[in-house]
Amino acid sequence: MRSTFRLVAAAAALGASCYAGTPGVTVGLLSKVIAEVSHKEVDKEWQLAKRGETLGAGDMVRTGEKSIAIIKFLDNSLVRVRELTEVTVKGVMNGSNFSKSLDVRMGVIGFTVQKQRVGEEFRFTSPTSVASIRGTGGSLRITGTGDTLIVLEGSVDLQNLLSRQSVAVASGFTGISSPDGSLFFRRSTDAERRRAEDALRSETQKTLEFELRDNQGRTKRLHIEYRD
Amino acid sequence: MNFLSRAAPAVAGTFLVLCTLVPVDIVLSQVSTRVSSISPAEAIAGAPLTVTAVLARSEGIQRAVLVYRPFGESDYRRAEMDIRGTTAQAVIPGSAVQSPSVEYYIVFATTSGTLETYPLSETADPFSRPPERTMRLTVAAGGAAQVLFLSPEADLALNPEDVVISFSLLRADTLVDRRGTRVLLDGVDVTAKVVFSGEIGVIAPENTGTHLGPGTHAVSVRLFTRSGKPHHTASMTFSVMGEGMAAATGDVTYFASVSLESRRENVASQPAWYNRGAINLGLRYSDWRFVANTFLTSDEKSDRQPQDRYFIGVESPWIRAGYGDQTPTFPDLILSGMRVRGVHASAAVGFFSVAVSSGQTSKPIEGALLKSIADTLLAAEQLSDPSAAYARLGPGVWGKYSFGTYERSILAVRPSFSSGEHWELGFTWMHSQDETGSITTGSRPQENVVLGMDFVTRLDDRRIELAAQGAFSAYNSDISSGTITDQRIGELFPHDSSTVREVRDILSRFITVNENLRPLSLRRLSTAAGEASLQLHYFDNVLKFTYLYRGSDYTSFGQSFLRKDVQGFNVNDRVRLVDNSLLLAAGYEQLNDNTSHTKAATTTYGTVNIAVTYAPGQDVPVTTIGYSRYDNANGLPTNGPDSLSAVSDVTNRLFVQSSYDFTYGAMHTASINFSTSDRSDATARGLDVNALTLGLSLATRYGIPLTTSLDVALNFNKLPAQVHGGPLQRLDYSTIGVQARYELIPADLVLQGSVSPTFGDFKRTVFDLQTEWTIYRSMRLIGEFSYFKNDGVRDDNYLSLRYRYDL
Repeated sequence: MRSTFRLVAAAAALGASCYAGTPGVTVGLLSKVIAEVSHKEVDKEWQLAKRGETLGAGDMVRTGEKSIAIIKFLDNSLVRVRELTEVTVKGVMNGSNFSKSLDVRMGVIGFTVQKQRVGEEFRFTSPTSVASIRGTGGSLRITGTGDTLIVLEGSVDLQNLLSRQSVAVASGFTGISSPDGSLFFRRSTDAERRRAEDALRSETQKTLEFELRDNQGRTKRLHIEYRD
Repeated sequence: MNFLSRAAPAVAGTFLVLCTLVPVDIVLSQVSTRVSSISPAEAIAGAPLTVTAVLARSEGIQRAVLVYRPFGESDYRRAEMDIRGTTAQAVIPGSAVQSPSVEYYIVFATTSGTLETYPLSETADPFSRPPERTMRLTVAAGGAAQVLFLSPEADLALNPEDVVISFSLLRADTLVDRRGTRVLLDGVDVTAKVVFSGEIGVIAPENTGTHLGPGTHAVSVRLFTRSGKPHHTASMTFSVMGEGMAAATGDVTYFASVSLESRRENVASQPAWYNRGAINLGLRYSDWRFVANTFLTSDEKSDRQPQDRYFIGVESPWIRAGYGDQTPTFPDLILSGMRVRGVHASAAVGFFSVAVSSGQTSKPIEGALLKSIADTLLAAEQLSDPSAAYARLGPGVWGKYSFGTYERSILAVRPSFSSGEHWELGFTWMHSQDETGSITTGSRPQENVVLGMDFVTRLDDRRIELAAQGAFSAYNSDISSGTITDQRIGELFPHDSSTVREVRDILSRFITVNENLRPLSLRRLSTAAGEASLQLHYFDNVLKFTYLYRGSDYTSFGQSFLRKDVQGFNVNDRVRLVDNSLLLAAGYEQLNDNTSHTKAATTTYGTVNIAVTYAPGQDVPVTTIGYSRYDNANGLPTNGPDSLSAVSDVTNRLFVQSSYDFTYGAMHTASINFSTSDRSDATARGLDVNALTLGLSLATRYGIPLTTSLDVALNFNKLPAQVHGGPLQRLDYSTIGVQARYELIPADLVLQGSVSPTFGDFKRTVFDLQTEWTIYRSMRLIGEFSYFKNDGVRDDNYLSLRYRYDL
């Protein structure tokens, strides 16, 4: 079973790499970089990323702790790469149609995808699943135990690569795809919805602590959490 | 010169051949006494299109009408052009802007009562018989935003070091030359600092030494066509945080501009000065916007319709109100493309909205003596212009007079209900009448009432669109005698006078009722008009079916250009193939006249259109090939007793357009345009016409701020004989145009010059010089000089100085 899964995953990766299109073709850019974000161009080493760097087909982006990268694609679709996440951007032009995909090996992303034109597609791929998006918002969490897709707006077709099962996950629902081939969806919990909304935010949470002393010499600590 | 004399007798002696020097116009060089250039040369499908004609001379033009038809239709539509100084503008509604092209020409009505077309032609009545050659405006498939701003988010407040401006040209259409894109930050050209990568442009101001102070900043991305013409500008604003930030946002923003022009036209050694000025003001606070503009010209005369323009108004998301000159948009069967000076207002509350326009469409002008005519020439003049009035001035001399023009008022009201996205239902009431007491020398004042309904519904994410509109008119062709009296009713309707009196009493609340009122009967709906269309958009295929009916007596003073007495259908299909790089368009239309069965025979107008556009992407030529066939016949024999009423003609048209971008030392755009039109008239009139045009163009952009263009246009025409049965006339001419534009001080001082000689049956050389000096970022001075070296007649020249200041 495990070897079968690896085989399928390898096939999926191969398929995804075929989909990547012409390496180096600009598919988007890093419109925002917070804290530790690295960028790896095809056939080059990892480097610290800068705001405004363009991304070619096959480029990778990696975030460290408490870090965020925002990727804007050519069609203005937006992906927020949350902390400790690694993604590969891919895209291909067919005439004037632009199809793109994001390979997520591990981590969390939030997405706001523009409504796709006829002939265009936006896909998220993981070793376990493929999510096809035609214009929607939500978040996708990729872990070793499976993928969790929370849809806040629109609808996403989610397919499990092992069982080849597909479901349409609508707004307000959560789809769960597992490495054992299982795939189901259910109504999102409040916690999941909050988590997806958080994934769509650009800010990172920071903390400030102050020590306050009154005129009688008594001290108190003020703890402030804020988003930057 | 016979052709010229017949086409434009008033100006035959001073005939001008002006060339459109801008490259890649579909027909590169056209003959005209009036127009020096027309823009744009291309358009985006579905978007309203403002056509602007720059007039070489505006003297003597009473009115200008843009006559156009969308691809696939045989019926020409018309829009009155708003003439302001040396420009004339009209808007083609988005529904008529369909790929691959829109065909058009312009008709000028002169103060001497003649009609002249652009391109110039020999047709005596260009409204009913179009010129043998027309213009074609390329329409690219579009509909999406041409420029997508990726960052920053619009209206977002940022730290200066966080500002990264980026945009995508993914959705820019095939007309756009990506390499020519220019980027302005707060009005300053920063293109040189922009890093382009594929379809993306990026600039980080702080990294390029551009300091952004606190407050609001604006970014503009200007797109240009392959021919170097401005195509589209997209703008967005963002804010940089700082001490001034709080004051900058939520404040009043304003815009003001002043432009002045002094122009000297020397035509046939008769110099004339024209002075014009315009002020535009705009003020915005929160959701409210205040606008005021005025255009004043020395052309304003008591014997001409208004040439000055003004408007003052206020608007918010739910209400608009203003006073002045506007071209209100109501359902196009009722009121469209007509200037109204008066009150304009609209309001929307929830699903209900209402629009009102009330004012004057023509001012009162008394009749005037147009010219004196010798006794011997009177018959010929009356034959050529039977609509004028003639009276003896003295022994052996007659005067030709124009009738006076009544002041005409109009009131249009349209309440409507809408769900926003899915459906809309509207009702329109329009009343218009001549004010009988406004002049003393008028003839037959008229009155018109139209009641209409329109409906549109869009389903399945707008893939299905069903639209319909209908209108019923009442028209009184002479209200000078007022409402019919009881006595007169008794004389005319002795058997049912009481019924007629009752009907009169009811209808006279809405329109003057007398024997000149139409309709006289409701049996044939001769004063009704309507059309319905169904459009389906699936699988990259747009299929549209339209049925239309326009009664022979349908009349709307708000839409005086509508073709009447016609009914039939039109079906059009546009399909995209091979990753959107191949566009096939095909259409068939069949219309019949004689809707009231009052003609000797019914004419069927059949039209077939086919066009293929191949646009595979950058670095490959974009090519369009089109074919049209117009087949008109009424079945009457072409010889014999009824032959004078016979209609039997076929016109075949073929056009090929192609343009190619390449780099060879510099960046070039090469274009070729070829078109033929062959009309075969089988009737005794034998109005055969054959026209062939070939245009070649090469536009070049160099590394230095220099652009040049070289155009060659060859025109070969065979026109009907002057006398019945005579040989066809030849009208062949060729034009070469050479133009150069150099930025002496980049973006600040621009010099431009051109030479365009014309050979063949017309001989003329045109020299143009222009300089544009940007004194400050917001202040410009433009000088222009044109010289026309004529053949056989005196030379002409124009000198113009324009100043513009934007605040």
